[in-house]
Amino acid sequence: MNPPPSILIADDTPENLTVLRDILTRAGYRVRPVLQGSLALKSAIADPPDLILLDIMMPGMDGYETCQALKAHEATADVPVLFISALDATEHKLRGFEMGALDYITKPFRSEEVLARARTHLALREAQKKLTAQNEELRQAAGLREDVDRILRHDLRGALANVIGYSELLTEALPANGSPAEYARVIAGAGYTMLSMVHSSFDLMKMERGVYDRKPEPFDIVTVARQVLSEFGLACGEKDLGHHLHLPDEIPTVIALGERLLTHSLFHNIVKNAIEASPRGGSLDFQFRTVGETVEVTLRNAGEVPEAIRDRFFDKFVTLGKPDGSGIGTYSAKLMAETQGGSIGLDSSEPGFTSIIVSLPLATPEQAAQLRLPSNRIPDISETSPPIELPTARLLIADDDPGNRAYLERVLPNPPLTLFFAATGTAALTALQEQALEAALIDLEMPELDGLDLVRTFRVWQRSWKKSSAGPVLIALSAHQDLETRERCLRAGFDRVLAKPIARKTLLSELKDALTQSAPVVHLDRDIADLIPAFLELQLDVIEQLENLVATEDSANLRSLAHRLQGSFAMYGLHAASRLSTDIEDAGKAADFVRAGSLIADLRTHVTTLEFRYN
Amino acid sequence: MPHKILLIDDDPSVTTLLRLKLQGHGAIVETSNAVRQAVGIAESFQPDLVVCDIDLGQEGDGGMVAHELAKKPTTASIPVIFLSSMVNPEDATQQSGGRKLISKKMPMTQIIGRILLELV
Repeated sequence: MNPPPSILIADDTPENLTVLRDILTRAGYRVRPVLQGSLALKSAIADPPDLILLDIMMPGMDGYETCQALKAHEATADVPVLFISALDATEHKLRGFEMGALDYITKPFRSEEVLARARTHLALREAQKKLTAQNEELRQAAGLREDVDRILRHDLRGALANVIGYSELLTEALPANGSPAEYARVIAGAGYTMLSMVHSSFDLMKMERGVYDRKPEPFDIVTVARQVLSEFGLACGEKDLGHHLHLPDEIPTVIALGERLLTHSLFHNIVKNAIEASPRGGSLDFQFRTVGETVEVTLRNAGEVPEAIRDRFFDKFVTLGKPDGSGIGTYSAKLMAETQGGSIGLDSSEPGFTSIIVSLPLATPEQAAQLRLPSNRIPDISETSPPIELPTARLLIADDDPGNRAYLERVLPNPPLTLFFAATGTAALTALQEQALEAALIDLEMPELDGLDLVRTFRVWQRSWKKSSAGPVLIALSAHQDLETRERCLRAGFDRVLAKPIARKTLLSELKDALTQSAPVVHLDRDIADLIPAFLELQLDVIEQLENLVATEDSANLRSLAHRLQGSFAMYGLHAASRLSTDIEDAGKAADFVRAGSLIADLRTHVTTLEFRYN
Repeated sequence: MPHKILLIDDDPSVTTLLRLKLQGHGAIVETSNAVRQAVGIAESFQPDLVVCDIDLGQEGDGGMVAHELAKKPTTASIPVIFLSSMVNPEDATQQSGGRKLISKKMPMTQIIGRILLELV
């Protein structure tokens, strides 16, 4: 059983204290009487009571001050405070409420009133405590689930890296035309499919929370439907289902404005459902028509949705009576339609048939005209291209996973590369400092010192000991491929970021880019593309001013201007240029004009050779 | 009612970039690249917030601008936050003369987020 609630009373009049103590003790409360505000504060902080009664007028620390101090202290901030005051003191009461008091007990005391108020506020406090505890529990449960999800996704990606990487190696090692090479290709393809599922589950979570970063582009929606149908060719064949695409006569295709991959998943979900719901020998019909500024896609199949769940068809975890259904397919289809500014609906009006109607925004004719190849497609591993020639270079591989190290050792040609390995962040740091390296592939998640801290430490070391940010090209290997991670890496001091798993071809061409120092590449948000030319022109002017300041040996202005450059470059996402500007600022501080001059020349070259890519 | 923001930085590329991003969030944005002009704009534009670079080069510093704004009755109540190129983004928001400081080295989304937060 819980001990009875404790009540702290502060009043400088001993008679008042005695009366209150008697009333409350008789009612079964534990009472702590004190004669001063400061004592009340000490006692309350040392052992927070359930309720505090404060007299307003006390010598030394008065009731207001005590109340304010109680509210400011973490231990006592939530303990309800009631003031003790004379009946008519309205002014006092108002001020007391401002200080955080909840209520008043008026003098002279009437035991019914004192007890009623004490009971009410203790009960409120108890209810509030319970709610807080429940909230905390819920919050922890939700947090734990997200953590588990994240870890799962992360670990899954690591394992898939091996599935994809090694099956690609197999494909190359086997005779190109034989069945075994074909099997290996299927395995790699399955790996990529799983990977895209992992990615899309992450995206779904973001859509659900409304924080999905959407990038609408014009795309051919009919082709997407055709692709999805062809993926289900086998499943349709098993159930003897026919499938057809219907387009209005006058148009060859429909260009929608949205995300191709999202729409692919959306169609995938509804087609899968339709196949499962269809009786043998039925047919699936995709119909496209444009209505105003939207494209309406109808998928019709034989079979009826049970009446009981029609209203909840797109709700989370509602299954269609399928034993193995997760109830997430139609829900995620709805999320994906709505995220793209569209909608999805169910039409059961035709007896014996079910139609799902998806509406998505239509691209304007101008947007349709600039239709480009989708950039984020899953790579087609059957593509062949000329082998990539790498230059001679010393390369560090820092990764704590022996499987990853072995994979990288296997795919990276040696010679021309000389490979160094590190299994921990600290070992990698030593290698970066002691070996004359041209480049380093650094895993973000390593024991002791993770990739971000490693690179931050290394950059600081470079600045203080080498007096330069020139050195090996630092390439991050990240299990996450979102923009936030990329941004974090670049800010920490990485030059490039690669998302795992990396197709061998991508890895080699990235390395070649990095090692031949062919134009440094900067990835920026598309919305600032228009600003870049003017930005560069302006900063080149500033660089010219820097050159003049070096000529006139003006240390103060050199520092201040380089400082400004540092900030402006960082804001535009030109992190390497920002780092160089910091170096120039340091040289200016040290009045080392020779060094400043050569750094400014480096900065000019860097900025003029930059190549921009927009996300 | 959309929020009105006045941006002050001696580097026009900074004000252009922030204007674009903030307009994307529905704010009405004015910019100024000179201290003297800035106070006048604040008086007529009556922004809900002033975002001001700390180090305005030869133009002076952000503290001066804030001081000038505080002196005029028509601008005294407008909150001011400072932008700075401080090296350490971890010290992102420090107190500077009782005012907030945003590091230019923070990711752009965070810079914008912090500015918008001031308007809540």
